[in-house]
Amino acid sequence: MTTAQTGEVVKEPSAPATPSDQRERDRMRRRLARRRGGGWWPYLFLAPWFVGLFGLTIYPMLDSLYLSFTNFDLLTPAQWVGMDNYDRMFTDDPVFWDSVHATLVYVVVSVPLKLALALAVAMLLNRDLRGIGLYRAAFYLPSLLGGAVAIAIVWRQVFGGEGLFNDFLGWFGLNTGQDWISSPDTALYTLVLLAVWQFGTPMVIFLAGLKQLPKDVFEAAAIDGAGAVTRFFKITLPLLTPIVFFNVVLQIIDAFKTFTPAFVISNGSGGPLNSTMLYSLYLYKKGFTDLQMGYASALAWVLFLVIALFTAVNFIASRYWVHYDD
Amino acid sequence: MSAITPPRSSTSPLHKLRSATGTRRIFIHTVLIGVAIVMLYPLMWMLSSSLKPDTEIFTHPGLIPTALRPENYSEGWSGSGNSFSLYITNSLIVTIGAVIGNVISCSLAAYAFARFEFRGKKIWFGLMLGTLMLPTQAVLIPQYTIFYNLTWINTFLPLIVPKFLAVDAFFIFLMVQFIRSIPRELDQAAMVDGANPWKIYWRIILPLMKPALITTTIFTFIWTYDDFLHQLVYLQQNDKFTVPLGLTLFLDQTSGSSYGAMFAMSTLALLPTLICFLIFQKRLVEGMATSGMKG
Amino acid sequence: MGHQISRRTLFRTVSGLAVAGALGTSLSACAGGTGAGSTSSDLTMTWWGSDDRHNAYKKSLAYFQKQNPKVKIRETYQGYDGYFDKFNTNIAGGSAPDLLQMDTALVAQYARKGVLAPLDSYVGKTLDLTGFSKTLLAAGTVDGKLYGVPSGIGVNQLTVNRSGLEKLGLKLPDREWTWADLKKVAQDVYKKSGGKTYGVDDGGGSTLQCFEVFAREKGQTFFSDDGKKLGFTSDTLQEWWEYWAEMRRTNASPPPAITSAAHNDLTKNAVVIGKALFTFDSGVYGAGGSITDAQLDFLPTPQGDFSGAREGNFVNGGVLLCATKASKKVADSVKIMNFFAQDDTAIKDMQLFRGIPPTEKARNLIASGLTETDKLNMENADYISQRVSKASNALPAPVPPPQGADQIWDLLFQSNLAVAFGKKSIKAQLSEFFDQAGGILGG
Repeated sequence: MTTAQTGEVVKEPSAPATPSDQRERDRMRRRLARRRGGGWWPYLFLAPWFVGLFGLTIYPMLDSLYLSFTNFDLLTPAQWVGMDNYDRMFTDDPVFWDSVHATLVYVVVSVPLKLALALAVAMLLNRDLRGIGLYRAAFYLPSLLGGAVAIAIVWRQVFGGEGLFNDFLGWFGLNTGQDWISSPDTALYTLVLLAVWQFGTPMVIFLAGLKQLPKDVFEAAAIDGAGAVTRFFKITLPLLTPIVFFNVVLQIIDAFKTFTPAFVISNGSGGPLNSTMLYSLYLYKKGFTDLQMGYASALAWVLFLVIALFTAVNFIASRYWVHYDD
Repeated sequence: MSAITPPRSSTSPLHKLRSATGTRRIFIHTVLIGVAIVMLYPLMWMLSSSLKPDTEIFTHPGLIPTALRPENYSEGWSGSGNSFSLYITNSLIVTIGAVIGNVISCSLAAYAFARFEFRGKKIWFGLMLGTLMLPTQAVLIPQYTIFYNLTWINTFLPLIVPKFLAVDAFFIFLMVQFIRSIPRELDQAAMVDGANPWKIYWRIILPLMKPALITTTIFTFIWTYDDFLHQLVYLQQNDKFTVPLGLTLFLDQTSGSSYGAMFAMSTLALLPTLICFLIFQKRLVEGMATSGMKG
Repeated sequence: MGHQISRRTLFRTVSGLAVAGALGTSLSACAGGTGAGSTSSDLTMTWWGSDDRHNAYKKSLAYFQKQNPKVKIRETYQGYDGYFDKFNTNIAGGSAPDLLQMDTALVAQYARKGVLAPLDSYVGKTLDLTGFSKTLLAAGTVDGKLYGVPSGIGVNQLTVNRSGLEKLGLKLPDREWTWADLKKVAQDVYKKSGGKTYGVDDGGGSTLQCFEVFAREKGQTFFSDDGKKLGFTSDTLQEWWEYWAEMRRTNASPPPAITSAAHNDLTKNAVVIGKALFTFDSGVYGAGGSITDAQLDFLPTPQGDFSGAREGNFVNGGVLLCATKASKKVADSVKIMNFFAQDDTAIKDMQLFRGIPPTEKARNLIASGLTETDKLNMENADYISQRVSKASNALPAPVPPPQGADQIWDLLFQSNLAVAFGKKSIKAQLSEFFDQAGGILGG
């Protein structure tokens, strides 16, 4: 540890500045600031997004908001029922609370595990090794598999009484023949495990972020004799914070909305005994299976508000730890 | 292209950066191979099931087939009236359209959010994130009615056009985070040369955010390819079916199912996504080497 | 049609214009009608099934169009997954098919919502239902009106791994067996197999409504006729759950983990994975094959062994063909229904792919070309339907289940599971079950 270069981002070295250069640069900055106030340029760049936002997103969202105050059943005209749906949710629906409980446990347990694993593996893969591409593909595969029927069957086999997971435990003498998926005490954790297993998405994003880090910083730090651990915590992590932040925000949003793994593990039922009834699965069942689209829309908006709250907290907290280069 | 190890007793730390020592490399490989096997097991099981007769798959769920039935592949391929190649073609049309749409429209929007100040920017940005938070199932019906009124049902348009309108906020946000970690000096240098924002976007930002664009390509491809729900409701007729819909044709709990054929086609259906990933992740690695931070 | 939500029109046009304007397309007014986005006047028909059924339908329909060149049919077909999600979305969006295959469990819900066209006015004119028994037609009849034509007879039966039984030196029970006989043979299986195999899967959660048969033996129904209440008493359910608790205690039935895994999942069925020899899930054997290599056989649901027990078995209707109310081509759809009900070519093409054919005539037509197991399956169904029609003390066939039935069945399953896992006592679970079921049906 020799220099004070740790944690400080090294800027492109430029020619030594003369005073006139300095003035020139200040003038540039002012002009830039004006330009950044942007005139009509930003709107031009945002034009397609605006069309999509109003036409395809905001309107359907408002529509579902309206539906949440109705008894819409998909088949007959919707009728206004005021706050009934929201009322029923909080006072007269035990399954709703089951699903809230399952979802919170799922979010709190799976997100940190998944992100830690994704970052660790991304660091491992961000090096020169023979066959690195194949490793990357192998680690990403489970995330490739999506939610197809075949995959559902495969996962249910893996965690079944005579599946791979028990064989794996058997190597450590822990195989009890337990069917992990169909016991109400463990089913939710198979779901967490499945989520962690599919850590490929944040891993790839971390990798892309690592690829973008300026190499000269590392070389300089290495020349100064900084150790690997130091380099990780003082250089890599601070530089990577925008990407870490992105992953945290998105994984939390995603975890709240998780549908496919729950559908897969429980074969669409949310069982056993509602232990894997994640919120989105419940919402889907209500809307499409039980034909209570009005109620499902109300469920959706409650979820929306909860996620928005978490995300807002995330953004406020990010001011204290995320480092941007602009 | 650096493997980072602590320089211990070396005269040339840069040289040390290039490669790990022998024992460590073996250790790392062992760990990676172990993890890879665990990750790949489900796929191997699927592959083995695709070669078994239906009566074997669940009664003998082990990895090694006792009886081989390669006909699963030929039967699945020419299944119910349409060749599976049709479904793969349809899926490719939808996914490639979606990829192009996302890369263009999301990068445009992300550049505006990351590099400009404009009225209500915070609110717009919040709205953009907000669109990520509402569950798909809740807006499915209202969206369906929009496309129905455009008479776009049973075409690929409802699956492709929205991507050109940057409805996937995930990617806008991703690109914003990437652009924000690109030093501003680079834009400013271009401004000095009198480049307009379009030129800067095209000449500087896009090349520098290659890792983000490739990430977007990979994810858009895979997620669109696997998206069952939207394809289910918008594509009515079998000649428009995509791979996920084609796969459901093999299974029916009430009238007997062809599990072997389904596994066979599921295995084949993985190939396009796998190929896409392999091609583009290679580019991900090259990305930085060529665009370099040396300006 | 499709404009249940007229208040949306304003909104819609605005957003539609925004999109259309951006893309230079023109916005066309919603004309309702059929075949989403289609300009042609084809008749749209949709069904679910597996490969064999798709091919059989297509072959028959090709023949039909040769006979009726005026009718142009556009076929869409898929697996059961998502079939009704799509149908619901189509209805909500105003693009329902003209003719569709319908699940007997859902027909009442759709009929009462006014989605389906009543068919009574066609019966005896263009719709010839000769040979369809009254009890069979009940499967497509809601509140006294006919909405769907059944494709075949379905029965509640047990599927038995006969080769497995014989290996243990046990005999296939007689068709006239009772619940006590089932208990005995199931316990024997566990003993003789040295604890490797249980007897019968746990029916306490009423795998495919075997509880309904039990209730009918006691002179009760599952749902009341108007579908607003349950038709059985707390005592009946208590007796049922106690029977299965005893079955689990003596290892005649597997522990709850196996039961739970098999829920909605044929591939984990106890007979398929070799954990039991008897199952209530008839899906283990479908036309066109099975996913187990065992030699299978079939038995009726056991009879009550108490005095005054009635005949509890009944016949239901396979799948139904229904026309949608909004369709402008109901008359043509009825022609197609009639074709599948009575035409020799269609009957031969369809074999058993929509269940065992509904009429005597049809069963005779296809009998010769069947596999061994198919024959056994058909014999058992024939036996049951004859016994039922002869029985003097049988209740009328059950009415189609009301909306919410799915939730009730799931509740029954989960309740039995809660008891089996020891999370609740039978008494506590009973009151909770009736409490929640009342909420679902009354709500």
